[in-house]
Amino acid sequence: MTDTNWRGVVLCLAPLIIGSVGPALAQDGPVSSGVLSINLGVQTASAFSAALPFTVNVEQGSLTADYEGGQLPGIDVSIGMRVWKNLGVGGGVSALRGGSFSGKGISVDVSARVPHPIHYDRLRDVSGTGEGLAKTEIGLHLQAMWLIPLTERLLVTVFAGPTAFAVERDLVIGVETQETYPYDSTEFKGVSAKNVSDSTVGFNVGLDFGFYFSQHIGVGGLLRFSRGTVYLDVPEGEALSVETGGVQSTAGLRIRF
Amino acid sequence: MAMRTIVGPLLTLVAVLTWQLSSPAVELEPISEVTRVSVGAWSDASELRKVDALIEDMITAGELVLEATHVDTQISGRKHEGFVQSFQGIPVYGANIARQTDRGETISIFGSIHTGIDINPNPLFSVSDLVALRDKNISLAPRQPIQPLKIVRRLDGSYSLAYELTGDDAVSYFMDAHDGRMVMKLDEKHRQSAVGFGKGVHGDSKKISATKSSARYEARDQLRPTDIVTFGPLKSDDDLNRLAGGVVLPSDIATNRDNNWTRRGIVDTHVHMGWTYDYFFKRHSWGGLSGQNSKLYGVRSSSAFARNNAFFVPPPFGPEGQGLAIFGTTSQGTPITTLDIVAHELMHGVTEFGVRRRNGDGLVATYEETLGPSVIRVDGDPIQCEDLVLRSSDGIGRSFVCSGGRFVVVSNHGGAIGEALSDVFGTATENFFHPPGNGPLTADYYLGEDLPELGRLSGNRLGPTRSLDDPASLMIDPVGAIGYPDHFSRLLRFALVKMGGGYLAIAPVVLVGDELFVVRSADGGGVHWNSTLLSHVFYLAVEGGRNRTSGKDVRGVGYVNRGQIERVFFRAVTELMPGSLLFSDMANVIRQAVIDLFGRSSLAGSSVFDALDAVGL
Repeated sequence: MTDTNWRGVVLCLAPLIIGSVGPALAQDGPVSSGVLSINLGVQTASAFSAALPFTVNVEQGSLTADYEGGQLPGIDVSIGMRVWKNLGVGGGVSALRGGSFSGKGISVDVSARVPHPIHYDRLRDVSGTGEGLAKTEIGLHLQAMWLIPLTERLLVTVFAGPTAFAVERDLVIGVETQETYPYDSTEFKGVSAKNVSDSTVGFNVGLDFGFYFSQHIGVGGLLRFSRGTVYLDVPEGEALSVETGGVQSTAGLRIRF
Repeated sequence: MAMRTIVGPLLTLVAVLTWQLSSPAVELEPISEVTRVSVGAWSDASELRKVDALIEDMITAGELVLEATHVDTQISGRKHEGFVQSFQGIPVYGANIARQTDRGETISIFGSIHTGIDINPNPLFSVSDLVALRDKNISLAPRQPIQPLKIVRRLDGSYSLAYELTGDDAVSYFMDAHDGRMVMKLDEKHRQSAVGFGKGVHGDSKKISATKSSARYEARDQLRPTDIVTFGPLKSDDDLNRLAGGVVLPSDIATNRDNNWTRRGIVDTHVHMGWTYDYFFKRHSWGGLSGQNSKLYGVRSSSAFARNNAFFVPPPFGPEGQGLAIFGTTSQGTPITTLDIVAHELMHGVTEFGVRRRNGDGLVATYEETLGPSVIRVDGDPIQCEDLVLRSSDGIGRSFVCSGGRFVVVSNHGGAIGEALSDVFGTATENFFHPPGNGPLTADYYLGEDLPELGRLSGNRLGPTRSLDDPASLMIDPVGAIGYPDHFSRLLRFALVKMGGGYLAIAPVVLVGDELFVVRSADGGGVHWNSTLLSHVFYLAVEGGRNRTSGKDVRGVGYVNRGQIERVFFRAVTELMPGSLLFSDMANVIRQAVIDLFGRSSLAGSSVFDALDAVGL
């Protein structure tokens, strides 16, 4: 996704969040007016496969890349306001990056048919695993909320709403090989990747619970499922359709006001 | 009887004559004094031991000098030694012995020893004397033979002490060191006729291995273990001669701006040289022309000299003294760069290097001189040898060489063997890359079939240049009087004529029985025309079939096993062949090669032995 696209998403959703929170601040109710949550956690991403053409040695080859889903670590900051009885509105931003907490990035199993440097129509089969692919996903969530105060200290919130996704990730666009004359076979050496991005609008649903030690401060957990479809441009062939989002499991600080 | 003059080449004379299918009516007598050695696994063991003992005696006496030794790359434990005959310390041109041993035990010996040498070994002229004497006629190439003084056998069987001088026109001149006269001249041009892309002459898409150089791409292949460089297109004979002489200018190399090559002749030259390299490597584990990955140089040319011509000039000619393959243009403007022709020319290089690693001279012209008839018929009239004169296009009449009243006729076996090997591996390379078929870019046993402008069918129709499967189906001459020989009994023999200064030349006159045929050239003593004798053996050993002349049937190894026969022929060239040999010697070399690789009782063994027999070798 380009900077322009991302700024566009923020500008579209920000007035909705601000506009929905603004009137709620003036209201009184059985529960506090709003909750700010700051969470750390992971998002389980979906595995996916992509088939791509690529050109090397003045001939088109092909590859199939099976990307692991992975666990993207990240941060989520959300805010919610009660607007009428237990109904509230809110929003949040989640930012996730990488493939796992170990920092290895996302791995991908690749099989490819690589053109021969000397002859046409003598594609050579090669396969291997590439590692360290990066992925960054930022979700801007707008939520309708239903706040359920189970006790004085325990607050459960269910929510759903649209999500604007901005995704940036490494896509395999070719393979690197090691080969020697007469080049009739070749060995997998690695993958060639390109960093691509796109943005889209999807949805999110979830559940949040908070346990408060005092009137304002507590801890809690967030379970959110989000989904959207981005289209990632590749050098050759049509843009790849890739689902983004996933099951986000985070925990952190709760501030009640 | 009045002197009778014929004019040659005179095509109308040939038109009224017919090719006689019967064997020559006049028995030919050999006049050679060369002892040919040909013993091996197929011959009597006691004979092998006897010859080996004689060879040892000659080595001890200093009459044979070890030139080179190399380990067999195909059979473990085998070793090959090359000896050159020496007469009072001077090498005898073309006289050498190739001996194969297995852990010290002699397996085969091939070669030739000249026994009748009686000559003063002290030169009266130096090289510089001769150059000064001849400076108007000969322009020397930068590279000259290391040992230029040699004993040379002349076409009439006498010997001369001569210097071998290399001209910048890719001709080797042998100048008599006693009287300064020309003894012999050999035209060394073996005639035959970052990945980019482009289209070949037939419109086929090809990948080109080029090298980026500043703002352009050069036809310099660096994908393969050695550099393969294509020059051209060169338009002038001067540039072509300069390049053949080893002088390279930066502007000579073929270039392209965006690596999308549009000169189809350059595309085919460069790509087909690479493919030929691949064939030698994959089929025979042989690197480049030398086996040691020497650089490959080729040039596309539209110069007058390269018109209807493709040829190879061996070392010491060419860039870096590595030889040069030259691919010309037909009269119709088509580049002569088909895969079989390119492979044919490069095989000349393999033959040259392969033989040279056992002796210093490579495969040399080996003439079989015989006595033909004393009387021949011209326009139905009987004419005595002494009464016949050949008047050439320059208007000068030249007498024929007679001995005891009989025509002396010669045939260049060595040259024909070299051409045959090039045809064999030209078609083998084609079959390696192209699917079998009859159209363009398919494989068969014709040479040059994708370039029919070069070939001749009966009635002067266009067609392939040579046929390995049915040689006699194609004519050596545009008017179709004489077919290519498919049996040794049809070997083409040429009359000799006397030139000035005692120099003898092969005339474009073929004697068949008591009939005379004037043909379009002497073909170097029939090097291309007689080549089909051996290339037909290859075909029969692979595909089987019946020889048209002998009627003998051969069971071949079959198309899928053709690699066996290719390996036999390749071993013959690169491991066993001496530098000078006749067809009969070559037949024994091939017998030894198939025994070495597959055994006499194998299918390959019987195929090769039967094919040689069917062709009369």
